[in-house]
Amino acid sequence: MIRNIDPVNYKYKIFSMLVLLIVLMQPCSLFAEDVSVTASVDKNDLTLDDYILLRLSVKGTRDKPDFSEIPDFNVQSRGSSSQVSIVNGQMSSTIEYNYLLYPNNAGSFIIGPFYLKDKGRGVKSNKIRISVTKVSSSDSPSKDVFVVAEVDNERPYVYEQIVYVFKFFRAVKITDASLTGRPAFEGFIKEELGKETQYQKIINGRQYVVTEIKYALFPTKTGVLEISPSTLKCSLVVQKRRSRNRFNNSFFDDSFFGYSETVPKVLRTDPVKVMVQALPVTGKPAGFKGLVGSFELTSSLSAIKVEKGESVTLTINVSGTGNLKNNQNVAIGSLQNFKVYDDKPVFESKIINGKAGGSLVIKKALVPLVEGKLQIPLISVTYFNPVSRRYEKAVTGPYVMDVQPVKDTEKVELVEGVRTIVDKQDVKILGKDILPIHTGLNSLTNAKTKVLPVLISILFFVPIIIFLTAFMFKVKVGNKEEGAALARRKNAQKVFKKNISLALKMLKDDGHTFCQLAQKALKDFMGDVFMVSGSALTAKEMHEMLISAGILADTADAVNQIMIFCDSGQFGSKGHTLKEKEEILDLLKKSVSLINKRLKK
Amino acid sequence: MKIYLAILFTIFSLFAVEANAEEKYATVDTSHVFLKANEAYVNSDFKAAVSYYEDIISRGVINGTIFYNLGNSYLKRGKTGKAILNYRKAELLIPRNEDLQANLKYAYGLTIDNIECKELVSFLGDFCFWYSNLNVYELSYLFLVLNFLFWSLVAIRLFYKGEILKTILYLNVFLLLVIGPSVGLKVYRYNFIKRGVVTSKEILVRSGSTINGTVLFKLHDGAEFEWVEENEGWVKVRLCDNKKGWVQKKLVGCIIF
Repeated sequence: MIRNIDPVNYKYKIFSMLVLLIVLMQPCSLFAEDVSVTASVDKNDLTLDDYILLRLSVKGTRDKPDFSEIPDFNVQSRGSSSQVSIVNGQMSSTIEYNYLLYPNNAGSFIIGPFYLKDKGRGVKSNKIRISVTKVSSSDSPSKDVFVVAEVDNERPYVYEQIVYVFKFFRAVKITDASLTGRPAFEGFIKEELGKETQYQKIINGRQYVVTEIKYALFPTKTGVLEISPSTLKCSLVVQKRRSRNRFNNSFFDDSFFGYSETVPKVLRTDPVKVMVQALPVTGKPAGFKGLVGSFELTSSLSAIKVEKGESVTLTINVSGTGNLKNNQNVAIGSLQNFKVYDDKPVFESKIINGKAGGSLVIKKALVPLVEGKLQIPLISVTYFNPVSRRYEKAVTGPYVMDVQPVKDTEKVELVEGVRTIVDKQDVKILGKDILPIHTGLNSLTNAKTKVLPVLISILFFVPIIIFLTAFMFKVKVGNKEEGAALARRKNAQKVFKKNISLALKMLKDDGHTFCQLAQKALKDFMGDVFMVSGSALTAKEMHEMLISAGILADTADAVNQIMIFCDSGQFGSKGHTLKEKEEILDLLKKSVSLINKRLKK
Repeated sequence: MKIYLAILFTIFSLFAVEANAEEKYATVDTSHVFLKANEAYVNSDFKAAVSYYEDIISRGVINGTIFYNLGNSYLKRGKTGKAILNYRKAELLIPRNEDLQANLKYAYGLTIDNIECKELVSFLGDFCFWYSNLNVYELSYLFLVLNFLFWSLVAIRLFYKGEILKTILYLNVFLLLVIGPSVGLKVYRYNFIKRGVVTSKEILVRSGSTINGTVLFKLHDGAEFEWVEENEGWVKVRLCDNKKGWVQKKLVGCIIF
């Protein structure tokens, strides 16, 4: 079939396809656009506890600019976002990388340029000038959050313990708080002073939650030592209200209807200056080793009276607050006439009255080498007490030991407690042979003669015979029982007729006897048919038996009616008429006949 | 049921043979020979020991220990094939004897031919301990006892249907099912599969039962094979790898009593 083509319509179709093709080719122009990187910040002037948001906008490519570390700033990534726009048919894509910059120091800084490599050529961004000023400490109490660092003694002696406390105050909700910049504590030996604690404090009528972190510091040199600032980062939770309250009702100004956002915050403490003094020269003992603090010295001896060669333990205990952990010098006089075995000193750190301290236990095993009265001289620890500002000496001892001669003259043989090791080796086969012959005379017993045909017969035939006999016996007994049951059922009708003829004779004489005989005939019949004792059956039981045997409900109901009639005739006060008795007799005969026929089927 | 009847028939055939066998008992004279044989063995007169033990066997004494002692005597004389033959006969009667197994293993180590038999029976022997540790008579008796129990329990169950009886009956049936096939297999192999051993240093296996038959391969002292059939002084042999051929009967021995 040839269709007529409208030339105008045909041209229009071609034009439409060309337009579609051009539109489809448009994305190609995306890749043809110029690549550029632009850096921008949300502000150029800030304080040390503030931060700036740096945005690096990359156009025309999905490559990420090279973002090496920026000196004097801590950098935290805040993710990226992308944007695609079509303006005048030109499609352009922009990816924006966001960073938070936290200044480390005050001053004027230039950040950038940032570089991007595109098809082998480098693309660089603009530079940005940033001015960072210090925070005025007078502002702190009025702020929602602020941090403070302080020491308990700004003029300690060298090696004297001072406590550095970092406190973080906050009056608003914060999240993600972390101590990012801890001081280096140059010129100090630092020890942890327990876990951080938290409490509440009211400043200028405003309640703050304060978190406190403590360190014990021991200056190791004299002069002015500066503890660098501690820096804490956190996010303030700021509650925002909906932009419009259409209902103009204060109820909707409730925080429930608002939303919250977090504002990152950097908090920095001021540096802490400590003027460390030298220890006084006056009164400095000769054996002083630099132990500063307050200490006690005790000692004990495991035995005073021992035999020569027997070991005793001397236990020395130094405890108190100060630089004991790093200075464990205990002076003990000459222990001549003793063989001394030093145990490893054990130091247990403790916090005593909020200061670092502990107890040092030094044990020495002393073996007296000679007999007689031997003296363990004074044991002493010399330290500088910064409270009393003078050198002090803690002493313990001396001890006098009574060393007896060895009572047992038996020669003691020292043996070395070394495990005896014998090299194991495989058992070597030196020869091979067979196992010997068996010489017992029972070897002459003929093995085959053990098979006894009688035994086979007993084991095989006897049980089968027993089983067959038992089986036949059971079958026979079963048949007998079954035969008796069948005979009873077969004669049921005959017995019924005999019984009912007796009842018929009493039809005119006595209603009571008639009913009794009629009911007996019915019960005996039911008992014979269903192989049960008929005399004990009730009307209800008969009904159920008949129904379950598949007898029609009318017949079962009739039997039930006969039973009720006979019961009333026997036990009721009202007698039955002759007609009624004849009717019930007919009904009985019919019912029995129906039951018999049905069961035979 | 048919399998059951077949097993029973096989067992009966075995016992029928046994029942007709002429029963022989050791006499005082036999005991004397036995003592002399042992003495000869102890005195390293293995030739005399072999002679005495053979004499005892020829008197109709069938006992695993005699075959074991005879095997030992042959092995001491350097006749590996005859030693293995008698050890294997002893194994049919006293399979649990550790000395026998050790000496048989030793004798196998002296054989030259590398004939590996990977049969189901060898697996059965490893896995079913009752198959390898009981001889054919013991296994048959065990089966008969289980059979006796089975029919007795079934007969009792006709009148008494207690749970305990039911459990015992199930256990009995399980044991019958386990032991029954083992008995059947063992009796079948005992009666219908003959094994033979090379008793000469080296024999030639030929293609036919004549001296002119082509020599197919050689067998050496102690090599075992299946005794397929006999024909006028020649025996048809089959190896585990199904190599077949004829050998002279006088150079081999059959593992039967």
